Amino acid sequence: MIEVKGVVKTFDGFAALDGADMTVPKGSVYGLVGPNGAGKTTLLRHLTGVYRQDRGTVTIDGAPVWENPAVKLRTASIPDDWNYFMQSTVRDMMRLYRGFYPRFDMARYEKLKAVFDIGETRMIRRLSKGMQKQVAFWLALCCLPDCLILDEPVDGLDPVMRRQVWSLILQDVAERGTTVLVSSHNLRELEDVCDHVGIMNRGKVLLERSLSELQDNTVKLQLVFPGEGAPALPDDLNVLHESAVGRVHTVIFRGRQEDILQRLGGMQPLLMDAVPLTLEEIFIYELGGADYAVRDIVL
Amino acid sequence: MSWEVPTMRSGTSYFNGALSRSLLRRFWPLIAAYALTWGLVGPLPLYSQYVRARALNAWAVWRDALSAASNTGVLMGLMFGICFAMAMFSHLASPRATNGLHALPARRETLFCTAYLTGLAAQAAVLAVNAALMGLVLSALGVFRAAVFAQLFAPLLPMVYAYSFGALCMVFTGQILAAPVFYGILNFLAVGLDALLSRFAGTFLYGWAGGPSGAVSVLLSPAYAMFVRVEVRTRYVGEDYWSYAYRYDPALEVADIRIQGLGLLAAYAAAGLLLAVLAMLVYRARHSEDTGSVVAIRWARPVFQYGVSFCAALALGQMLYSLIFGQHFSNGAFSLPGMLGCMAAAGLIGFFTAEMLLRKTVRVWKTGWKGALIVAAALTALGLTLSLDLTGYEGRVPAEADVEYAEVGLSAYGRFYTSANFYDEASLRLLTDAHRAVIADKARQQRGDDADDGELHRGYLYAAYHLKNGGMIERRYELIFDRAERNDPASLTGRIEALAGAQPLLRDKAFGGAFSNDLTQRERELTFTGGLLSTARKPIPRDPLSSVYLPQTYDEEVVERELSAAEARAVYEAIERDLAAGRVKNPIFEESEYWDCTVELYYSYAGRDSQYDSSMTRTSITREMTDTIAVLTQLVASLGVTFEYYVP
Repeated sequence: MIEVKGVVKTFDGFAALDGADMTVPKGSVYGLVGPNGAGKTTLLRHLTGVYRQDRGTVTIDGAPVWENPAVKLRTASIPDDWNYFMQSTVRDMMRLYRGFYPRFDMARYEKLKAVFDIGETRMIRRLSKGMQKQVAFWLALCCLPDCLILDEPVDGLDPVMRRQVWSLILQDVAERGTTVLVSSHNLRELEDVCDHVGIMNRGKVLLERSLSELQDNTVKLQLVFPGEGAPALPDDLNVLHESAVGRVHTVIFRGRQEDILQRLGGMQPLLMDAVPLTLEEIFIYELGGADYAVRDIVL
Repeated sequence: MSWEVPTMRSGTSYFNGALSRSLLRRFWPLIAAYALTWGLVGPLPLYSQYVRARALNAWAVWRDALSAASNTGVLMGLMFGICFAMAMFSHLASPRATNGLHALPARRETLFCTAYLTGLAAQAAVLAVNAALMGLVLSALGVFRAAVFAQLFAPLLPMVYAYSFGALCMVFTGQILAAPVFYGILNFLAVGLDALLSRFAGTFLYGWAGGPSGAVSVLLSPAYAMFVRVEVRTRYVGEDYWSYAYRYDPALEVADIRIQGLGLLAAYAAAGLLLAVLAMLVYRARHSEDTGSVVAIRWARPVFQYGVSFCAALALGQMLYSLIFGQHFSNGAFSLPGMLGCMAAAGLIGFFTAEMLLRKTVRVWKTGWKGALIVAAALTALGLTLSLDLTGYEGRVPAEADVEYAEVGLSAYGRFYTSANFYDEASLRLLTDAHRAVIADKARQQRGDDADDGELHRGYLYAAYHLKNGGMIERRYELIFDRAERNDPASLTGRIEALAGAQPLLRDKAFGGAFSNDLTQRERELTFTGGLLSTARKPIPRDPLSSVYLPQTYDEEVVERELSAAEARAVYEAIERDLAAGRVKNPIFEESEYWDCTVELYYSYAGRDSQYDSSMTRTSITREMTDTIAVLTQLVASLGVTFEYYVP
């Protein structure tokens, strides 16, 4: 289990992490989402032992990550910009990884060679961004990590390769119980692979739940009431967003669907229909409450 | 590895083979260049130069081999030390590489030690191979000497220092190009700063003669110290001291050869190892996110910023002043506000430049104005403190009883110079009286009346008092003497003239400075071995302005006569008699007549703790030295010369 408690990290007086808390259950695929500059990458760099927190704790299975090779041996990461050394070939990087990770699986390496189809002797800096990412996945998966930390992992990959790497990762999750923490802006994709989601903003994790829990706790209803306009909704309902097209009102509530339907049923709407909520909508409306929303600006 | 014991940390390993191999694979061109360069400056020229020699001088071959191992070794170590450090720690200058490497399962110590040891081992291997090749060449030439061979490994010492210091520079900065700049500046910083500070103090303090920190600052400037203090020395048969290896004398036969300064190199190598430990500690404390910063260590940033500011104030400020106000640093035209203004302006330029480098932006006014204010105020306060002499520096003259001895130098007219060490209280009193007169005359001296005009003449007084408590007071004054004041014994000119008549200075005059006071103080017995008398057959034309012989006539007109040991002693005793009788003068403010005759006296003495056991003195004869002239007249009688006096 990955656990981050009260982590503070400042850069020249700016708090990139401002008391962040996060818990990633073992064996889960955890999607970390948030607007640009929310602190996602900073948080992931603490989990890979690159950054040292000013305050708080960062642990994996109870052991601190900072300067702890025993923990890092079981963790592999793919940062957003992966190319470490300008002069290295794929094989050079494989040798480097093999020297650091005792569990590095050469049989798997050979098997994945066919999947990624990139010449081992090619200089990494001469590869495209997508191909560099493929090499990163290739090597990270060969380390047989118990914990895989990915920052914008499929950025630059073509759709087929995206599906391929997710398939490999999820295979590891299923077979080896690998814990995956992934930061991405591609919410549609995360929705397909994640079972847990955390939303970050301004250096804090605003909420984190399992995806089903999150979807159960947010309700999107289309409502049509008799007569012109809509009656005032009960004050005790937590309305995240409200819009209307003609007589059709679309309202997003936070709360259990049964409770909300029961409360609104008393208002005798002509139509009351629950619509599936996407992760993107949850992201947008949750952050809207945290003062981060799409603004209607006319240029 | 058990996941069930999650809090267990792995034992610290200090080396990772995979990283080491990766470094070697990536930077083999640097290693190859290093090896190739060594080959080109070491074994190859040694072999090609001597392989065709008909009569091989073994010591000359060794001299060249050791020269390559010492002087070239220092240069190569300094040049390649930083290159290897930049290569081995290059990941610290690229955020991507820093983050990638620091995410791998290894402690910072492991990463540092692996990089450091890999670079060290690569260089050491090249040097070992180079030494072995040199040994093979020397064997092939048939001059191999096992006793000297070990010295061919001397380049290891400057390499250890230079590479370790380079590593420290690399962990201190996050910019690859900043590392060689820091490396270059810091290797010479102490001597540079010493010179700047000395000039700075000299601008404000009357009598400033340079700080006592010369030797220390040289030691703190390793590159400079190694360049000036390491050389090949030879001991010749019949001599028990080590002298210049390239000293040419066909009669000299070499007894032994060695690299002088190996101790110094070993000390710097040891310091290098300490620097490496320090670099590792800095590496541990360094934050990954500071890669890309000019100064990656946070606490060092203010040091860097104020350091740059201070150095800019000293160097650029004085340059700025000389551009605007001219070269008036200590005379009447000196402008204190001008100097303070220039230094403050230069300090601010340095401060804001450093701020721009640290913040990576040119918009630094808002963030830097407070610091800038501090810099300007501090520099102005420092300048004012020095110019007001709040420490009492300018007025300090020791009591004679507190002085063990004093070194004195006195010059006037620009062509009269005398110096000696004063031990006796009477001479010291003459010195302190003159010193006080110089201090009392400060206002007039700094007004800078036109010298060399009528009765005014330039000169200087140097005094270094070695105190009985181990301290030292050293002063140097550029002076203007007024000959019209000669009749007033209390005037500056009067005091200086009295000082010129001090017995140690008269001895210096009589014996041309060759007999040191130390020697006479220790009352060592001199043994004269001979001498040489040179005089003109007839008056030799001289340049009317400089009194220098016109060269085309000198060789034709001068005759020489060698003196026996007994004759040399006779001349010496005559000079001593003239000295005792007061017939040797130091005519600092009046012209004196010289005889166109020079006597060199060769002598030896017990060289108990001295490098040399023989020396010579050269005496110029003035008309007043009647006893000496009487002896010399007899000696030159057979040469048929005409005595001629001249006024220099």
